[in-house]
Formats: sequence, C-alpha cells, structure tokens
Amino acid sequence: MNKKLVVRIILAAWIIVWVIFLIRPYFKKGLLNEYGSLIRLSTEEKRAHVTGEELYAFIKFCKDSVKGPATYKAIGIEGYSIEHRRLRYYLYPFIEKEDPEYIFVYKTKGFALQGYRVFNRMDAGTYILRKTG
Amino acid sequence: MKTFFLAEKIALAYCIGVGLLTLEMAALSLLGIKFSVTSLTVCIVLLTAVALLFMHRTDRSQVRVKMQPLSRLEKFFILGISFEVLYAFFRTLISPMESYDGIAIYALKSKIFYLARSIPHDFFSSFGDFVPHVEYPLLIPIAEAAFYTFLGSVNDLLVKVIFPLYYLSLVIVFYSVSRRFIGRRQSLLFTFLLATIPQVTDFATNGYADLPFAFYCSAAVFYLYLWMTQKKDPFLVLSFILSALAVWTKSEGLMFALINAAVIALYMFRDKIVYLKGCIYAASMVAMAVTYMIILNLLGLAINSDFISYQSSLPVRLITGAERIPAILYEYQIQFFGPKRWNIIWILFIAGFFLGFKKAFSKDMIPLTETIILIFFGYSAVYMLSSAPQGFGWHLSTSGSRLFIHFVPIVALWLVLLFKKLELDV
Repeated sequence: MNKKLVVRIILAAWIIVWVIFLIRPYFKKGLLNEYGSLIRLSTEEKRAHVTGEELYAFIKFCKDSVKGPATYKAIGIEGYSIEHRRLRYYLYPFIEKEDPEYIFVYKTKGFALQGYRVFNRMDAGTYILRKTG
Repeated sequence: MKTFFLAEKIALAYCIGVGLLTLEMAALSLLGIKFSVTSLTVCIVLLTAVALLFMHRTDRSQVRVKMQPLSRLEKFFILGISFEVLYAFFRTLISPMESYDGIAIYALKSKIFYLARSIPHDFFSSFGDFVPHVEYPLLIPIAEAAFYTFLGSVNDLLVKVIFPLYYLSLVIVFYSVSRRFIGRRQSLLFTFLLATIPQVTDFATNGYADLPFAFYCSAAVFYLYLWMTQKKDPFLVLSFILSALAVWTKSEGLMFALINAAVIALYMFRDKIVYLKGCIYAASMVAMAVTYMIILNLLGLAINSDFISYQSSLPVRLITGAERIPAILYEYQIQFFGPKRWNIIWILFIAGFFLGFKKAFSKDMIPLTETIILIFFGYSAVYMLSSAPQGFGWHLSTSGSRLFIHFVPIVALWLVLLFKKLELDV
C-alpha cells in the first residue's frame, strides 16, 4: 500500500480521537456552562466556586475572626482530602498543629473540647473554639 | 545551518531563565538575602548578558532559509497547534489553582516562601508535618514565589501562566529539533501530534510540576542527541543545564541524569572513541546526582518520602518488588491503550518498535531507543521500590499516567527518526 496513504489514515484516526476527547467534556461534564459561569466571576468568586461556596465562606470566616497568624486544628474536614489541603493553603500563615490556639469546627454540631470555649460562631455547626487560660 | 532557531532560543530562554532565577533565589536564601524585585532583577540582568553573549558566540554563521508558501495540510497543523496553545492558556487562566498537588505542595510552598521573602531556614526541619513532601525539588514553588514577588501579592490565578508557557516552549523546541531531521510539513505533523495529546495539554494547565519537568528532561535528551549527531558544543552545554534543571524540578530528574550519562557512555563505547567532552558530561551528570543526594542526606531528607523503608536493603527490596511487575505492566497497558489520555501515541510507538525493530537499533536511532528503554526500566524500578503509606497500588494508579508525560516528547522524537528511516511522508 502507498506509504503516504497509510500515514494519512493514521493521521485521520488521530484527528478523530483528538476531536472526540476534546469535545466530550463539554457534553459529559457540562464544561460550557462551567466556563460560562467562571468567565463572569471575579477572582475571589472563582476561588469560592472551585473551593466550594460553603468551605470558602468558612475559610473567610476563620481568617476574619482570628487576627494575626495563629495555630489551629480543623474538625469536620477529612485529613488529606483536597478540602483539607485547600484549607491549609488559604489559611496560611495560620499553621495547623496538634495542640493549637484555635479549633476551627466545620459542619459538626455539638463538638466541644476541654480547655476550649466558643470564640465565634458562623452557624450552629460551624464555629471557632479558642483555648482558655 | 544555524545552531539555534530564533523561536527555539526564546523558548529555551524562558525555561532556562525561570530555572536559573529559582536557583539564584535558593542561593539568596542561603545567604540570608530577602527576595525583592531588586535582588531578583540583578540576576535577570546578568543572565540576559550571559545569554546575549552565548547567542553572539553560537550564531555567527547564519544561513537564511527561503520561506516556502504553506500547504493546506501545513496550515491545518499550525491551526491545530495554535488552537491547543490558546486553549491551554484559556483553561489555565479561567480558574485559580485547584488541583491536588498544585495546591497541597507547590502553591502552599510558594506562599510560604513569598510571605517569608525567603526559603525559611527551618523549612526542611520544621515544616515537614505541615507541608507534604518538603523533600521535593523547589523549582516550581520558587518560580511561583518569584512571580508573586514581581506581582507584589499572592495571585494563585495569574501565577498559573507559568505552566502553559512551558507547554508552548516544549512545542517550539520539539518543532525546532525535529526540523533538523525532517522537512517542515513532517515536523509540523509530529509537533501537532505532541501538542494535541490530551494528557500533555491537561498538565499544561493544572499547576503540577510534570510538564515543566517533561520540558527539561526531554529537551536535555534532545540536545544530547543533537550533540551526538552534530558534535556542536552548545548542544552538550544545553543538555547539561537542562538536566540540572530537571533535577531541580522533580526528583525523577536524578534518574534522567544517570540515564543521559549511561547513554553517552554507551555511545562512546559503540563508536570506540573516547570524546573528552562526552566523558566530562557523563562525569558531571553522575557528580550532580551524587551531590544532590549528599545535600538531601545532610538535610536529613529522603529523595522521596514514599520510598523510605527501614525494613530491608535496596537489592532485597528490588527482588521482593519483582512480584509487582505484573501490576506495573498492567498499568502500562492501561496507559498504552488509553486514547482518552494519550490518543494513539503509545500504539504508534509499540507498532513502530516492532515493525521497525532493526531500524530502532540502527546507529542513528539507538541513543533514543536506549534512553526510552532505560526510562521504562527506571520507572518500573521506582514502583518496585515504592513504600508509599497509602500502598503500592495507590502510588501506581495515581502517578503512573503522570510519569509517562515526562518522556512522551522523547517518544515523539523517536517516531520522527523512525518516520525518516522508513522514508514516510504525509
């Protein structure tokens, strides 16, 4: 068979696969809507959008409530999860530690710890505990 | 023929410039000098002066090539490549940093460095519990910190522009290198293939270090191969610099440095000629890898914390790791036949390898063939040694697809050479 024809058949196969996987996310993941909403948002709103509105509001609440860098521990967010990593990233220079000054409680109603009292509350399950004494 | 094309020089200038700037920032931290626009600019000015001198020295003999009109097929390739590049920039800049490693490792480190205006002196000893993988090389987080320093604030959206620029550089350098072996239309074809691999374009946008690393280690192999074919010294110097920057980007760079040393040694062995420059290159690669490991040792760090094992020695772990080979090959098979990530690049490689087996081991192609085989062996050994806390299966499934990005440009260049050997055309 003509060598050029073989190359062109391979190229055609490549282009077909390329186009399929290029447009597939637009149908499968609704990428057009996602880009459409992202394009209208400010940088801060984009951060909230990709982080999750509730988690981002919690991060802002923690940052606004506690003045200056402090040590903290997060409750209600699974360790090693992407949410946990985002929390660490956005809260830095706050440092996560085992024996912290603050405990940031996320969507966990009734969490309490000896030696800590409620410092600020966002809602019933989301609040900050501060070390006493 | 010119040693370098203009676009190639610009692409190399960006990637090498970023790399050297980050090395300078590491040196500033050691000296206790804080990052500032001034302290960083001094280095850029010096680097520019050296680069201009280098350009002047290497490009005294220039031959102008008359530009032929583009064919319809060439226009299509250029359109496809341009679309992918622009789309990569769009995808990058539409949303802030959101990928797992992009946030957890690189963005967090860069924020720490930027706010401290330095690499904190206790970073490796005190931040281990807070930052995952403190032992990872620092090119990407320092590059992000440099970006913030010039910007004057942390902006995890704009900083991502670093990554598609590496992608663009990779596309340009690949085209320029392949152009030295085949015609313009054929070069555009292979550049189009490389530029449209979904896994490559995805990692051009997500803030992982894998695509910048792919640039450094692949370009180091490209220029080493060019030195073998043309014996022009700038190629060997470039290969050394790019290898060093690969080590500074990801720990896997150590493996690539040693592979480059082995490939040049095998090349001299086959030719039965000892090239002094080749020996210096190989020795420098080994010395660089050893020095890097000594520095890590002095800092009390492992090359990668996923590989620490106190239970047995390295040979014993390799032998016991042999039972993982079927799982490793299974993962490779998933990658090879996964068009969603790779289109049909690996299928072309496998078909080319078997159909052109003799040619793959011909004098022209054997250095690249050896490189690819050694990389496969090297990465397989990595998984045989893995002692990731989440388990070997987790390690393989989460990183396997990323490791293939590192050398897919080398595989694409290998296909270019095979294409030429088989006297194919498009």
